[in-house]
Amino acid sequence: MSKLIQAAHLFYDYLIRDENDNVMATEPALSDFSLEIEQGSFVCLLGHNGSGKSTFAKLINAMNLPKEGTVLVAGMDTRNEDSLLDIRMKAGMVFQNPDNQIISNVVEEDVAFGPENIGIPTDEILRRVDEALHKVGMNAYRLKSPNQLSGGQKQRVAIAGIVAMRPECIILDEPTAMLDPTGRRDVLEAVHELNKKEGITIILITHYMEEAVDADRIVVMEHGKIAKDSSGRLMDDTPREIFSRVEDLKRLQLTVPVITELGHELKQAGIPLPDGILTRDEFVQELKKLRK
Amino acid sequence: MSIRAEHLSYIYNEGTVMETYAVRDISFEIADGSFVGLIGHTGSGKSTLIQHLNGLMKPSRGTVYYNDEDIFAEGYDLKRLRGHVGLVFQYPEYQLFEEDVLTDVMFGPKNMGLSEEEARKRAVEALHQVGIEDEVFVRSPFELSGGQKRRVAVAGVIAMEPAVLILDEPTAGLDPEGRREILGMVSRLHRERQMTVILVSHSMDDVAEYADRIMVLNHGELAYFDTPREVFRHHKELETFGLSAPEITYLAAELADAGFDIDRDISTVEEAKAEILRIMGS
Amino acid sequence: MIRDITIGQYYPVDSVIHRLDPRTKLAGTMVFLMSLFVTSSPVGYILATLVLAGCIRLSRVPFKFITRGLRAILVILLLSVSFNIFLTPGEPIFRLGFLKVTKEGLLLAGFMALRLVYLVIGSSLMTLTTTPTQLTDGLERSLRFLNRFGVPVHDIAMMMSIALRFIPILVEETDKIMKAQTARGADFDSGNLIQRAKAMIPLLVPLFVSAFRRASDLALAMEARCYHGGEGRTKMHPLQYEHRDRVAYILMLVYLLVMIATRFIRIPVL
Repeated sequence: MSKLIQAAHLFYDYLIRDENDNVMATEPALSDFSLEIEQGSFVCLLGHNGSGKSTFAKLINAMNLPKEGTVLVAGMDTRNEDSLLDIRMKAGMVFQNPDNQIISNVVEEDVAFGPENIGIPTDEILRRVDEALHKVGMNAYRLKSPNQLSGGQKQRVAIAGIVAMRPECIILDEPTAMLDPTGRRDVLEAVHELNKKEGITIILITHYMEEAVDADRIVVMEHGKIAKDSSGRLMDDTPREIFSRVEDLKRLQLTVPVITELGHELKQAGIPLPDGILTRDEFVQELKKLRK
Repeated sequence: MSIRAEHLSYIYNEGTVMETYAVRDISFEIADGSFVGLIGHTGSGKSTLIQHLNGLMKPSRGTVYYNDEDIFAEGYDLKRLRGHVGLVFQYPEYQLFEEDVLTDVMFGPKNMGLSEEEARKRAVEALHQVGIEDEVFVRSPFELSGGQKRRVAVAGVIAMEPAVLILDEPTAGLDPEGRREILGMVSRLHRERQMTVILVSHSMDDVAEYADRIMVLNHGELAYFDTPREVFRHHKELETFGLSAPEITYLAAELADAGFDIDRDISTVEEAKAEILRIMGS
Repeated sequence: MIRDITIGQYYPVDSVIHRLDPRTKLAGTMVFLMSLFVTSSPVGYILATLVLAGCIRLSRVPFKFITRGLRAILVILLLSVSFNIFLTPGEPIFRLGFLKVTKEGLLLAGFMALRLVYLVIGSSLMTLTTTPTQLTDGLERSLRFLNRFGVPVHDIAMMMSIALRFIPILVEETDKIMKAQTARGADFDSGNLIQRAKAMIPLLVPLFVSAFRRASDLALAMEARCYHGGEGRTKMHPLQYEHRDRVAYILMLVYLLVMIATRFIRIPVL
């Protein structure tokens, strides 16, 4: 598989300014951060607030530029101004607040916004909007006003708006943080579907460990660095092994799914369960084995 | 001392074809010192219901009693009531407005007619209670981190020293650490100050862990008001409401179906641990 | 409920009027408004009434929605009618104390009222049959010639369209913040003017903060979706005149000419 995103030795500082806009202090958000992401993979980027997740996301599609280091998206350097639109087309971004990223007053118009910006011909836009709305299951709401939609529906419209630009990769920055459980489920389903059926690379930034259960790869960030990565460069081999380190995750201010937590607690109390049980089904199977 | 709702209904566009009930004929009594979890899918009437409990919304029918007094009766002092029944809205950090943290928290107590000095004392106390350190007091609330802002906003309500604290999804949008801090703080206030708590939440696991009673709303009607055990026993019905039971309840059911002799009605990790240790021990 | 406030009050049905190009409708509304001022004869008003009634019928918008906008101008309407009735000199019909009502006054008041009412109905008909998006699109296209004079027409249209999207959100937010502060004991309703103005601070500061936060979020989201101004932009629904628009323009022209002609026709009825 080819590398879609190659980030090498990134440094990025947040500037803290005083009232007169002079830089008072800097706070490192990324320090010597390197990460490569395979085309077509589903990567979950975890970490508590301020660990540098969102900063990295904004460097991928050139919303910000690194102080040091390089980011290549499909081989294009984000520093190169000429490829700016191409990069943003290839790596689309969905944000946390559903209300603050929908621009138009009609769902289909909003989905068309991106393609319109990059000068796609009219017939083609119509086709893409149609396709994108179907892919996220929002076609029935095509002519509705965004104000009539639930949070989860708005997020799916936002995703459709990116899909209509035919991206290689979608970066979702905590897309479910403001949603209710139904909305969360629908959004995640849509995202997984896009990954499986369309082969779109997904970078999902989240606080919820439950959302990482089905990812191909989990990267945990801390202090602008990688604390854990399931791709094998560090010690952890699979997402499951990351989940098995319950104490580590707690130290990184993450919560494990309750089933994993229960398995961990029982193991500590002397029940010989394996580490990193993720689902109820696995749990029942493991407990059955012990009964025999 | 209690909050009691009697046949409470709130109707939008009453008398027109667009008439809809936001809440319909709800009656309940919340005893002093209890911790109630309020659950229901989006649009089930939770927010409408809690806004009636401190008189922010006026019911179309029925009424609310606080300490056996009808809060919608002529001449009832609603402003004083709001000091007793504190309501923390969703994303409360969006109401911060003062130049520094301490002054913002003093807003509530001052509105209650307390002296500057008394208001300051209460604000300091409330801020300590939510875990905000002294050096943050003079900072602008807009400079704080998301979790800190949220806690300062909650302190703004706690500083009025309410007997009843209602929180509308206080953990929405926070990271796990922020969620843990807020819930820990609410649980502490409940334990140490015997505050009555009504917690609106989407997280069944949180509700199962903290609440001693659970109120379930479905399309504006009160579907259940009982102990977590009894409510989560109806997980099939809850699913038809667009809700679910905690993961642990489902796990217990699956284990029981697989032939384990486990109590089906548990809902927390702690209970599950005890149960599994019991059945595996023998 | 505050959420019910709709801006632009579009009435979603399918009709010939709905399907007309927004530019045609803008032009049609202008023509209709002009026609009310060029005519002064009863024949003209009868014709205008027929045309308006015809358009309303074609639009399939229920009549009660059309007249909704009239409530807003009721005060102006009453004022202008009473001024005209009482202050127009001429042949007196009857007297009310020192006020005298003249035949000319009654006629003039009647025409004035009719003009105002038709003005409102005519423009309501346009907003009821045109979505805000189409309306901004139509304005952007119709006013594109102003680009030559350095007016950033695209940017203005984009701002209008974003405002339309965010006004309902901010209205709802105002309501929420107001309630949240009331829950903290704030009082927005009592006290003298200065006290009331001061009481607005806890409402206005959070509202501004929120509006700025939304604006910066939105700017980021737009940039991430490759927005870079109007240059090189295409449209999903580009405005395109159809056959019906050409017919409409011809009808408008004929109508306007006839209305001008009514100035010179005298029918000895009144």
